[in-house]
Amino acid sequence: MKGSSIKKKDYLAGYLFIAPPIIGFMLFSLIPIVFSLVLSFSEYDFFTGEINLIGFEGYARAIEDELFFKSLGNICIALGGVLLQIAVMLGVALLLTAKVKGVTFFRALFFIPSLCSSVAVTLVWKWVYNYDFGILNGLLTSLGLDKVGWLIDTKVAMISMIIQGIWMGIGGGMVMYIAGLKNAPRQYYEAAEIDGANAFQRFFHITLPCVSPTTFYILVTTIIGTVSDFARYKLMNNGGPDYSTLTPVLYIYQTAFTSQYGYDYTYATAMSWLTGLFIIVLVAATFISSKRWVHYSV
Amino acid sequence: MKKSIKFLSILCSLVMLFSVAACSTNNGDSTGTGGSGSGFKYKGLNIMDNLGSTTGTVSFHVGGGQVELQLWDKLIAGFEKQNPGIKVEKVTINDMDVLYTQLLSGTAPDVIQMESPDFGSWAKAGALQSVQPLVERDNFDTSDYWPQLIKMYSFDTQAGVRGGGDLFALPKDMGVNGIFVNRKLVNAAKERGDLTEEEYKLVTDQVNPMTYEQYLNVAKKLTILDPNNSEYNIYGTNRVYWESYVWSAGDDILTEDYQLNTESEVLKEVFEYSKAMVTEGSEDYCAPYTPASSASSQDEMSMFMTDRIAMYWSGRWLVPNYDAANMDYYCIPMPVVVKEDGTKGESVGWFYNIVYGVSRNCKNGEMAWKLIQYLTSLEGYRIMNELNYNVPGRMSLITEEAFANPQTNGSVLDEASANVFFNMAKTARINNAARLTSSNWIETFESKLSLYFTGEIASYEALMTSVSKQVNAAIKKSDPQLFVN
Amino acid sequence: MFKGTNNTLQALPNNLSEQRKRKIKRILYKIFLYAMLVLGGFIFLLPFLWMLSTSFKEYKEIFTVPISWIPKTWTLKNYEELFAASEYVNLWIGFRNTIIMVVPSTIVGVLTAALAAFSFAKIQFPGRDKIFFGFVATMAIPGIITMIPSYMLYNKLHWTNTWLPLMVPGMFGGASAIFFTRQFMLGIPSSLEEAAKVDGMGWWGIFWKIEVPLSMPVLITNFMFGFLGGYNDYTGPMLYLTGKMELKTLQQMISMLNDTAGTKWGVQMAGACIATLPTLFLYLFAQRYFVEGISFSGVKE
Repeated sequence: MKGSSIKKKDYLAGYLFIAPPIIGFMLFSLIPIVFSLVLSFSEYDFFTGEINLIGFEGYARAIEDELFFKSLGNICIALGGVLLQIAVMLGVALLLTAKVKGVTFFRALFFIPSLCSSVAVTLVWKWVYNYDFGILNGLLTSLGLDKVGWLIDTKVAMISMIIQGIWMGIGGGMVMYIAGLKNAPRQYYEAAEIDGANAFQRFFHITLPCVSPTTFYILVTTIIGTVSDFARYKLMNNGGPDYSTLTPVLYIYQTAFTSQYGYDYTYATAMSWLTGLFIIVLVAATFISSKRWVHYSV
Repeated sequence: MKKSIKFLSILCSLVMLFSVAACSTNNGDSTGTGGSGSGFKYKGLNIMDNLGSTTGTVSFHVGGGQVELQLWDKLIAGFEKQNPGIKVEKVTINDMDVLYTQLLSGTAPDVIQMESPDFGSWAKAGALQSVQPLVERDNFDTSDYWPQLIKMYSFDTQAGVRGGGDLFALPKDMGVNGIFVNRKLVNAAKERGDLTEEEYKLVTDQVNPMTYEQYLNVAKKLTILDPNNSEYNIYGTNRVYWESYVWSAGDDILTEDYQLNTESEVLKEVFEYSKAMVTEGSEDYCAPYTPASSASSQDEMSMFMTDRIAMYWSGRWLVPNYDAANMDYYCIPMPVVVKEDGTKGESVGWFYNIVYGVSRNCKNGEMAWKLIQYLTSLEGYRIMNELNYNVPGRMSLITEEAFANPQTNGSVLDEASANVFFNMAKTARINNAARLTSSNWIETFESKLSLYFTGEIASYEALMTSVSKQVNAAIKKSDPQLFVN
Repeated sequence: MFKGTNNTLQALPNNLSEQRKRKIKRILYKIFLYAMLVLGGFIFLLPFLWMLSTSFKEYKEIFTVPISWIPKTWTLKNYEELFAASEYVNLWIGFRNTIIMVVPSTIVGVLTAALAAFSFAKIQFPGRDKIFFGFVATMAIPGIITMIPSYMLYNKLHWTNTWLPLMVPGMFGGASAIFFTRQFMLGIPSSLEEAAKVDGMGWWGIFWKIEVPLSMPVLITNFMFGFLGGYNDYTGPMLYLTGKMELKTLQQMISMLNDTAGTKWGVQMAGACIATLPTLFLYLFAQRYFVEGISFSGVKE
């Protein structure tokens, strides 16, 4: 009897505490999201208010749309870079938790890219990748190598964007890993050393599992972030050369907000829901797999 | 594991439910692509129903940084002085996507500024209110504006075709192109003996255009290639605007029935000519490679501004840039094609400009019309000319001193150079990106064209085969009837 | 592995060469670490160094080939222009506006997110995990497509041309912060809460007296990222602050310095560098707090 009233108290507290974000979501996000969902199934004239439900026509059109498919392919390439990005984040974090003098200074250095406005940073990278007088090609020619068309060659362009993405994006995950590493219980390490475990074993069996909750968060948010990333693709090359850096969100933006595809807002909503579905499937897969490799310490 | 599968299946069935619901309510025809007269329904509003009062506040979309804002303030002050009782509210929008959001939400400023490619789809969709009724009511004389602009920004709301009918917008400026020549580099080439007397005459002639052959020759002479690749090359020119070549020859990228002109010999000529110019190692190498689809490439421009391109194809609106960097330049007209019968074609380029229109949600049509009239009046253009930004929208102004001789207005641009642009304005044709309501067709083409220039696509024939289907499909999707030339 | 080998408890080595070998190993290891730090730091700093040096260059020198790292002619003109207050551009006002707009809403948002995260992590109630997944799923919808409906919504509320659309939604707690905080809280031993419950504390008390102090590293991290996001946000203000100059943010002010003379690279880079300073200070402060953080040795307590 006492048990059930405590449980009810728990339920009340539980729901109450998550109420603010839910209310916020319902006030500010739900309506726009539902509106855009309905829009994706219809042809809506914003000016006259006429709405025609066309069912899945918009979605069917998106599926047959070569460019949309190409953009999905491009984003899959970018997603391939996600694991690399996480590895770099962890590696740098490990480096920055070392007990060496001046490590605080280095921590700031590695984090500076994330502090700058992304517009400014993107523009700087445009110069870095410039074929004629960019930093990278300058370095290559001074070593006697050929210049590379970083943003001009269709085979290289997406990879250039991935590298830029890693540079711009590791700040967040790196900081979280540092916090996570610092809070890994010391007893485990000490016990392991007494047992004679070497550095690799300690890393794989203690460090990785201890930061797995953080890894899970970083993995999910990086997947979402990589697919949603659009401003820099627009600024760098606007999807070029020959659509090799066209991402789904950029294509959606061009369709909805520019004259390139005739300001076709309703079609863009259909594509964005497909893209959202794509992300949700990936995130769900991550969630499901997380039961295997994420360890929450007790 | 079981829980998550259950959750996913709930998600899937929700999606299915939606689809069943949506499919079953598929009623009515789609809101229709515009068209050839039959079945086109114009959904715009009539400005005569939205005239509002003759005094009060009218909102005005302005753009730019602080320098332009100062200028807008001057214009607004001039307008308010002439029209006591009207206050202008400034709305700063620098990006078209924000403006479009406001248009869709019905909160756009009364008077908006649009760029050429946006006009087509916005007019067709009813996002603007035509000023034609007011033009007729007030017997407003539009003959002083560049005729191509009046044609371009008219849309026949009955027939649903462009290139005539109801006027929607008046020009802020007339953006044309010319060739900017770096005087320092040209004189240096003459000193070195690379340029002969005759060639020097050709490149300093600001009245008579060269032929494309002469141009290529001069460009090669002005090019200094650094074989060691340790420093940088100086290029004689940037890649020519192929539209100018094609139009000068009397041809066009599209056939009469608006399909990609794959059989055109002229197109083949100009693309092979251009490719040879940018290919390192070719005997005609004289221009840096830049992607075809960015007509105002920042990279090229910075090369020109640091004395690495001698003759630079660029827009009149970049004059303030070049002035601010203290460049020593002058302008020459675009070259002409020698046709088969030996006659020379016109020196012609494309135009691109900004216009003032009235948004659909404007309820102050009377005041908006007054504001637009003022902005495009002689006085309005005179105030705007402070920045030497562009050719004015009115033809009669090109003889006034501040316009005809920008050097009296603080620019480096001399009288003959200003005249080059006036002449280009007389023959200018609308930029390909604005000829239809969507620019997809030309973007697709130029995207593949850049692959041809880099060599990824080996031959001109291969280029045409790979791109014609998509380009024609893009044209078809976007109402060829709405083409404007 | 990286906690340093100098404080391991081990039996004393039985000969001198063993000792020396280990010492050499330690030194080599330290050198390796430093090399990696310097190399990595340099790579990461390079574009920023270019930004910094460009801010001191004359316009023409920005585009020279080969890249000039050290300006041949140093100039403070860009900075002068940046700080020259006019009625159109005033960096101080922009900065003040950004702070007013971002700080309070971020603080509130971090706390509400923490509360929700606490609930998701520690309290059992039906549907908990499904709702949590739902939250994460909302992060998946590309934001730009809701731009127009959101704008229309705020317009109906008459919030356009105010700071409200940029402040209020954040106060309710964002999915990302909830997610991150929840991950962290799952690592807090539940024995602490059990003990508190035995002492008669309710969930509210447990949250404020136990979870919040222990989660400070995460809360500060969330604040920092929330602040960064709001501080560097360009699209939000561009959409909602189109009217009066007095409301515009720092980033908007900086971009107003461009004009018909094209993008003024020197001034923009100077602006970008200056704009980084406050966030750099925030980071240095926050870092000390959360990285030198708290370790879980309080199980017995």
